[in-house]
Amino acid sequence: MRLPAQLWAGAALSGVFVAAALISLIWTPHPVEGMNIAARLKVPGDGFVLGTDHFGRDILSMLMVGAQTSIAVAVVAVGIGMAAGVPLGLLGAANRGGWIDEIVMRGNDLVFAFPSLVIAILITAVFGPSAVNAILAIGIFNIPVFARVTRGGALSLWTLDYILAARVAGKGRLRISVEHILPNVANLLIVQGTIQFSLGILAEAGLSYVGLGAQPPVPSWGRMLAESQTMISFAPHLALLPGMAIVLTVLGLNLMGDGLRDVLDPRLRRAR
Amino acid sequence: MLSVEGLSLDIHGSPILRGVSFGIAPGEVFGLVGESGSGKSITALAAMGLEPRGAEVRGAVGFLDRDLLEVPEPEMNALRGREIGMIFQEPMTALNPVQRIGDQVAETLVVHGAATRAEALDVARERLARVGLPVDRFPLERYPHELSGGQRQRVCIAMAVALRPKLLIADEPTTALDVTTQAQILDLLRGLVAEEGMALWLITHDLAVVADMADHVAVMRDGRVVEADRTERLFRARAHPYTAKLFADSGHVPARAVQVTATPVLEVRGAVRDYPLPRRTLLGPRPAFRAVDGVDLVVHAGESVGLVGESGCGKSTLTRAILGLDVLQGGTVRIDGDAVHARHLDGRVRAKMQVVFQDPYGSFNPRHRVERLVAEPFHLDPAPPAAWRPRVAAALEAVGLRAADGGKYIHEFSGGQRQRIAIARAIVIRPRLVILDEAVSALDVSIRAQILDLLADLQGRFGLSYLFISHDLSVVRAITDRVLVMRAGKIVEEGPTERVFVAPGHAYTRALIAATPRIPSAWVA
Repeated sequence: MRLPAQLWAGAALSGVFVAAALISLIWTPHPVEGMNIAARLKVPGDGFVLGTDHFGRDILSMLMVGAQTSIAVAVVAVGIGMAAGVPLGLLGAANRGGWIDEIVMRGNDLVFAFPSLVIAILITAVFGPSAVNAILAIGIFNIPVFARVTRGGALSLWTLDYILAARVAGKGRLRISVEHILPNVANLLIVQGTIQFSLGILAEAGLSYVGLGAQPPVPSWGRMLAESQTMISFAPHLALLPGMAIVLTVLGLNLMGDGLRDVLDPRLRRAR
Repeated sequence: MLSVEGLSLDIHGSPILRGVSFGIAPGEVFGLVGESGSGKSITALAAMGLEPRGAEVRGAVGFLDRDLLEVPEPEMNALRGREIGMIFQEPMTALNPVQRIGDQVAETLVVHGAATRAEALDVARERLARVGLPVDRFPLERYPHELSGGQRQRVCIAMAVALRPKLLIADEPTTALDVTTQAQILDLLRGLVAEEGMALWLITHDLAVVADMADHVAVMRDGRVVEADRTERLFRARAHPYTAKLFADSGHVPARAVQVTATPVLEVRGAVRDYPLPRRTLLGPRPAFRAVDGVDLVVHAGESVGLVGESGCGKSTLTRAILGLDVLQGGTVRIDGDAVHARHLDGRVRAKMQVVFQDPYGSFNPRHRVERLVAEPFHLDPAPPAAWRPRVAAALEAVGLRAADGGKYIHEFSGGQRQRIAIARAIVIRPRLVILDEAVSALDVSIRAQILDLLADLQGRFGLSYLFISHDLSVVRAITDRVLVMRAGKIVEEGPTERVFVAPGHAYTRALIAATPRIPSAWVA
């Protein structure tokens, strides 16, 4: 089967950022925590590939470590969303119309009804700003997304004959959910996961931008943007570079999500 | 009027049609028969210029002194609907669910510039009345979901004939409908042909429908026309071996060694199943719809019992209750003397019955290997893989597959093979009763004949009892000893199969049998 070009493009873009994050674990061009006032506000190319900020820190190194932060926050947030949302969705679909289903879905509605950024601000305001609280806030808002996608996919599967056959074989609803439903909604979840991942990166950047995400000196793309704000007239690269990093990563992940949907969703596969 | 000459079609280099030729005269009914995959639908689509993407069409399709394959797309659009109308198999999806029926019929006229909207609605009213939907009972403002399948097909026909086309193409127009509805729709089509002098190109897999309707017939196989002639002559002669085989298969009666005993395997007594309907008033009681109404049903050991009825009569609901999937509001179900309770059903009791469904494509989890699919009922009888492997292999061999097929995935099998796998899954734990829920309805006649033989063979070998649920009377007649006719939740007639078919006692049974299209017995003698 030929894979769509956008899947390749998306995977390549996302791959660059994952690679940058991984490399930064063992090596960065310059240390990110030491200040070097003598070398501050260098333009790209002048001894530093992407220049330096107002403390003389290397932008490339900060972007690489910032990718680490973004990816870590997004992975854990999507993980929380899947770990809680998928079982809830399966449970709801298995007891369609029952009281468990009602509680799960009305709970989802409740979480959906709050603007996510406001609640994230509330959580970080109460428990103090930190990367962990940002992760929790983003993660909680991922739960209803995965619960709904799972329930929707599962409901259409429950009407199929092979589920009836499994019931005739005496299998319980929980067992059918794990054995038959979950593997068949996995493709939906992979696609949704990719998209939530990019939204998680955006949300982390947003929270860091308002100072509620990762705290200094841990580099973060959102805070790099915030700090560059006052210097945009004489050092535009300070804002442009992290901005580009966010845009390209999110674009890459969305392209990958669309591409994966084309490959994994049998309905779209037939339509093409 | 329409002449197809040497029509060939390749999709991405693989040949689909090869030199298809036939002609249709004005005012005649032409039947194109064949099994699935023979290319009969794509012939019609190619003639209309609606071939799928990537298709390369050669040959000529003459219509009113023009070659339709040469006509540019804008003119083709004008021709479709105006000169050639088309109706499809599935009336549920052929109508736009958010448009009123009057608007949908009127649309045909408006897009062809034949009338203003107001005039078009007048024509729509008249056409809908002609197809049996008079405006006083079926206002133009009705939406498709407010109509039954047969009524929707009537709307589709009204749309297709709104501009009085010279040719109407009907692709399996009655396959998705009940027999009595099918008879009405066929009557309607016949009437339209006679009144309007329109030609009808009828595409179907059903020889009896063709015998009933068509003046000329062509039989297709693997993208070729193997035989074409006047209907009666072709049916009497059956010159081509494939035609002869189609005939033999469609009337196939498997040889069965009947060994019915007096021991009841399944006993249903006074079964009642209500479905709650939405409340009419805010706090009033919820009215109920009684889907199964006091049904008594007995299947003896080694017996095949048929349960016949049209869609919505409650036969599927009854099946689910017997299988312990749904709770009954009244009555009892006993399998081998043990009561079946939907809420707490012992695995040992459940293991005594299994089921085979209609759709060979939806019956299996696409992500499991065949071996695991067939082994699913062992859940009722927990045993280590070493114990069930040989039994799965034996079951696969019993249904005519190879033990090695257990390692494959389900998409590697054809529809007929899948139905064999479904049967293997049903017999692998040696149940007493197998419920066959329309188990051969989705299969081509040649495959159906093989599956019926297989079922008869397995019954003799393993002493199975069958409850055969179907709307297809000829199949029920071929394989059952006793038959029950169900209507609106009640059993209206019960008796030995031959007696019921030869001398039906109830008016509804007589109507069902009369509505079933039949090849005139003189032709097949």
